[in-house]
Amino acid sequence: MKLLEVIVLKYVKRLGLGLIFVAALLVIAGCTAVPTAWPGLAADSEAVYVTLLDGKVHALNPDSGDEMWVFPNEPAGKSGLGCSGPARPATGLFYATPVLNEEIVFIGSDAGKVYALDRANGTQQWEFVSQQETGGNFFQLFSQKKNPSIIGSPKLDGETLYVPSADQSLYAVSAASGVKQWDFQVNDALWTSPLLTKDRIYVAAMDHKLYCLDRESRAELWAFDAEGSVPSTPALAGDRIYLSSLARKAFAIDANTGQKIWSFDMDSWAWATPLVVSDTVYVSEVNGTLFALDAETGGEQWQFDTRGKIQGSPAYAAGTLYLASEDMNLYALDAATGAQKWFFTASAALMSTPVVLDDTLYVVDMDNKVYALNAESGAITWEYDPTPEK
Amino acid sequence: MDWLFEPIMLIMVQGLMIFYKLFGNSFVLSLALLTVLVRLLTLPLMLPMQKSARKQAEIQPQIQAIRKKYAKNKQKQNEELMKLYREAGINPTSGCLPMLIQLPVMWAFYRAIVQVLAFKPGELLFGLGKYIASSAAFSTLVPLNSNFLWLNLATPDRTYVLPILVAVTSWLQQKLTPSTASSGGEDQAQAMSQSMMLTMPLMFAFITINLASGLAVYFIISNLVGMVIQYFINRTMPVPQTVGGTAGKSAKARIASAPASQSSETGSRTQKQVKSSSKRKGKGKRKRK
Repeated sequence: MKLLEVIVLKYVKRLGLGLIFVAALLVIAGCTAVPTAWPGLAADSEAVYVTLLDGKVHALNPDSGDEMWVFPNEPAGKSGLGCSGPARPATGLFYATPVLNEEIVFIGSDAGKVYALDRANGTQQWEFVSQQETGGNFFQLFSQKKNPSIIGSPKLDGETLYVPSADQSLYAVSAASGVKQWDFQVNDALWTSPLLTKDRIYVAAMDHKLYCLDRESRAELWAFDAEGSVPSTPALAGDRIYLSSLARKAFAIDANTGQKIWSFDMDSWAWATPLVVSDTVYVSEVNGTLFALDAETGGEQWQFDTRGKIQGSPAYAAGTLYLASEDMNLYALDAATGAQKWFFTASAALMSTPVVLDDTLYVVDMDNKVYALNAESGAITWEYDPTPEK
Repeated sequence: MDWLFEPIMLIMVQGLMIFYKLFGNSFVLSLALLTVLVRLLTLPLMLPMQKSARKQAEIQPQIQAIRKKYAKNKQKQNEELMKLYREAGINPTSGCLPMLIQLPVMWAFYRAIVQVLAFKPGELLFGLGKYIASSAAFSTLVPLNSNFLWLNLATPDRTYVLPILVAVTSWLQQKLTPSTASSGGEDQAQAMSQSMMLTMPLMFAFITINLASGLAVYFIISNLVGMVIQYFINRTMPVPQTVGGTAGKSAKARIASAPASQSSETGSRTQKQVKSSSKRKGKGKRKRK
């Protein structure tokens, strides 16, 4: 004890506890910069496109998992101040799932840009910046800046790409050139993709509202109050819209009038996009439970509990639901009863919606590993790991 | 260490959310009130440190005498110092312990602010969601309105106004806070104190350049609250005038007999204290001669 007192007296006081505190703050300050997002995945018969936490788009051969190209093709930087993990990439991180047409893959990043890449080789065709910097004027330094991140996936409809931005705007952009055609402003960030019908546009925002716009005039027809922020894209089935809200509720809304048909209460945030299969709507809460509800009445049919958060909606094929959970498991469930058929354990949390293509299931984990699984059995067909071998 | 920080963080997050709701969705008001509360609640931990610093200031002349007397025998010097501390009722570690207890609270508060200011999905889901995703009262409040003046509190202030304010308020707060060294401590400690007084505010300013401006606002509020608290502490517990005072004759004599160059190296603050103390007491060196 005496020795301790002497040490404290002699050294710690001289150095100053304040300096130690500042040093600790420096480390913390660096560590808060570590990026957090989740991967996204899109696939067709020609390629699988994944956006990983390394801030890159990886195009893979759907049959073998071989890498076709990577965008941007530059090594990741290193973070400083004693924190692990890569530095934030210049292109930003990708929350939005890639969107495909025959020639181009469109990807939105949280740096506020949409990249149009050639599907064949990953060459950038154009980029769209969601919030143009006006800079130069001293007084503009003191004006409010909105977060320009692209969180929700863009929606492609013919020649137009609809880009939702956290800068509170929905942009219509030419899919061929990336030139803005028009924009629609809401009162808070947009994290969701718009829903398009022949004559209407539906878009849900973090300002608690689901907006219905006339497609021709872009006039607001009605707005539905979801009681809380809407972090994921609603689902449109027939004349109903189903949406999840952070108010811990799922809603069914009349797509024509915006009137509530029913709501379903949960114990925690409802985050994932609802999935509608015939007469059943599947909704989930972040605390890890998937609910099967009667699409007509909202009555609960069954529920399935996982041990981690659920962010992505389940995928459906041939009577089976595929549900990804933060508990590192991908569950194959009987869509009618919720009975578990099999499960696959990845090497890290699964936060994204899986994709089913023919008899193959593609899923990506938070460790940046991509898996192709047999949709019937869950057996691994191939695995892609972009981490360089040590 | 999650077992230690998580419960405190839960309280801090919920505190911020409650005040946010109470003040009509104003994050800055919520932050200000919680900062005042935290500073007041940790005041009982701060007072023993201040008392200890003052007691140490009182016995500085004896400390200097022991150091001088046993300059060549470090073991004996330490023994004598410990004996002196015991006699004066000072525990050298007593100043550190409250600080160590305060650190988890401050760290949890700091982290809670970062979590509450979440404005991207990952931060919201993995961070704030952990604390309030199941709360009916708070779920409808997210994401919080982080706009204040020209600032988005979740992102750094690119005008550099906040880092400058952080530096200025940190410096002012330190200026108000008496330390053992500034009250007549040894030369090296005084030099360290002087250097810290400049480097700390600058380091804080540097840190805040790249931090969410909400954290910079927190530092500023915390410094302002700290200054008010320190003002009242200084009034109720005046700093003993060891240099030039009755308790500090030997130290005063030492400074007075030192060459001019050495005196100036010990820092302007010591010289100022000698002058002001002499003026106040009206029995300066010359007068006594």
